[in-house]
Amino acid sequence: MAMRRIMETTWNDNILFSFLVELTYRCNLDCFFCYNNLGLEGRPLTDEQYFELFEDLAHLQVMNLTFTGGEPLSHPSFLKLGRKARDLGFVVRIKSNGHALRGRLAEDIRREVDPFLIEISLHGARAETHDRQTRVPGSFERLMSNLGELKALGQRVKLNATLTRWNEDEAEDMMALADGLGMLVTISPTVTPRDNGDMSPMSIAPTDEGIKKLYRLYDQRVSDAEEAATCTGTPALDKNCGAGAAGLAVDPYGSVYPCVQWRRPLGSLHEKSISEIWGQSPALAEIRRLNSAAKEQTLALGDEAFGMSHCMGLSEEKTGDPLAIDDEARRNARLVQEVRRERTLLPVIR
Amino acid sequence: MAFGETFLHYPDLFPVRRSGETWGGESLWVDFVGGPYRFTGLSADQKRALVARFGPLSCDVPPTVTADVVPISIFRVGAGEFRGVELRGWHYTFDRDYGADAVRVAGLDFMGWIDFFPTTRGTFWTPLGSLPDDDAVACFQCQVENYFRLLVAYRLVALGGALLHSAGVVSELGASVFFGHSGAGKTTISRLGQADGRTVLSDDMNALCPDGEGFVVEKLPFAGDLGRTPGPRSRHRLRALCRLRKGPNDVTPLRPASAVAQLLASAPFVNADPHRLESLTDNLESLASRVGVHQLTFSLEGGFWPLLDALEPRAAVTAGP
Repeated sequence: MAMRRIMETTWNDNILFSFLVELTYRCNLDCFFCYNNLGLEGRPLTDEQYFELFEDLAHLQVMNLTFTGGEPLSHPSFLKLGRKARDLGFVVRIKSNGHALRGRLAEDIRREVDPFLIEISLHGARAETHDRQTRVPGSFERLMSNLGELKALGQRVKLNATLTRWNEDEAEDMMALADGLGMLVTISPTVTPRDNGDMSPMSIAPTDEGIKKLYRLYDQRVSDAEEAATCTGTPALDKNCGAGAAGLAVDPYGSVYPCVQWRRPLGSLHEKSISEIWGQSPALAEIRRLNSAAKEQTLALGDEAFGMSHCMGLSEEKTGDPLAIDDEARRNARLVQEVRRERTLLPVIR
Repeated sequence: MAFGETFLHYPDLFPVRRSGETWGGESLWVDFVGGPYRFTGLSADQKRALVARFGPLSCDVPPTVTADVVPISIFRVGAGEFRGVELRGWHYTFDRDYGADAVRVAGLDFMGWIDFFPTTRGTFWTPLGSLPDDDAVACFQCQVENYFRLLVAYRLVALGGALLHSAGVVSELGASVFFGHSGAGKTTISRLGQADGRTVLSDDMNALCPDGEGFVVEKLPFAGDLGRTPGPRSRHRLRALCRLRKGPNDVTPLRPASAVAQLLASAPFVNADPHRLESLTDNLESLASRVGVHQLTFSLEGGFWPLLDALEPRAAVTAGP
């Protein structure tokens, strides 16, 4: 109930709740489908600017602070910034590829940053699949070893996977792998273009059958009883998502966006504080208007919208119009509905 | 020690993706053998330091050449990522990790990649972006040079040539290149050449590259004992290639196998790379067969130049190994 209430309050009343920091586009892996715009240039934020940002965010009573990249650990001041975030009382999350999370660095992060959660990317259940994506031989084996180390350190870890044509036959095995490690795993069916509009990652988007298989797996893993226990009713939200309403993101050069996926600039931290951008940005007012319009649009679709996840950032990138529901969102909704119909027609034996 | 452990606190964070945050939006062309080379992502200070270092070889606009451009992207890295190295008594070195498609390198306050496909390109991370004094400028120039000469060595191999640890001395007849182990006399023969009115290209490293007619030698803008003032491009027909030894004046041809082996030993960096050794060996075989390789035993009193000048150009050795 608490999370539902928090969502309703923050999204509907525009209360900044979560902030995502892209610290660097440097990375110690080289994933084929990475969405970063590597051609982006500018003046990176200094440590002092990050400190000021964090203090402003604390003043705004932001709860979640997420570090991502590139590989955020590659930022030369990662430990210093993480420590500051912890000292200011944020719920700190780190999105990492996990490749360097071992030995002294893993211990230093545990001790100095003490993140609430480290989210680590998994690209397959087999070494050849994972390494094909990261383009670093041995990265799967290293990751498995590092996950063991993190667990031994008592660090909370969640695995994040993106379903692709390369790993769609391993979804069940990825879940089993996470189960074996005692870690949560989320598998997203959406491959996204790069932030510079390059569509090449889409070449490995999963097939219809791969996505349906994933949805069936999710179905099997959630028993009716669990479903009933977790079903607390649909939140009464007046927006499509939290972008620009409860969350913001910033790139390494200080440009602020409504969301990591919606790269419409709202202002620069080289010119304005986050409080000023949050309180005064006309671009942000427009984002919120669009966000409400998208919600109304989805409601008007009725049953057709069941299972539809309309990402306005993706739509804007692909079509130029954030309100246009792109083919990928329609496809996902269609597949969710097909699986739902299967479930109605054929009782699942659990 | 594993790759990078000597120089980096966290070698696991060595960048694999050739990206990151640049120091600025400046770029610079440097044009000499194997190039033109194009540096991008520079700060204004870095650009000034490179212009000072490479002098007339550098320019703001692309040189009018048809050759492939070799891009070198410069990115930021934190100074705190590097381990301090006790420099007293330290012999300069850096870590290299050889792959089929690329070589990565970690050194004193820098990291880098050299990629070979589809064409040669470089990526270089340095903590020195703002260069407030002469010391900082010199450190940055030194970092770049140490990486750059490695990249040039690979570039020359890709073009059918080689970087040779050697002395290059030019007369009106053409260029003679003298190679040999440390202490064999490269600097000595360079000084003797200067005293004889000849021009010294370098007493440390020279670039040898094939052209339609044979091989040419080009002066490199890298340091040697005789200084490192960069001049304009200077290319000369290679007419003699000699392994050096001190002793009574004498010139004798080296057998092909021995010649290639000796040349390999003097072709730094690439000769330790298992993935590029075959290409380098092919290039040196070609060099040895087209130019011929001799052993020059020379006296500190001089008197050996007539022996060299009397050598027939393209005096290929035909004896078996």
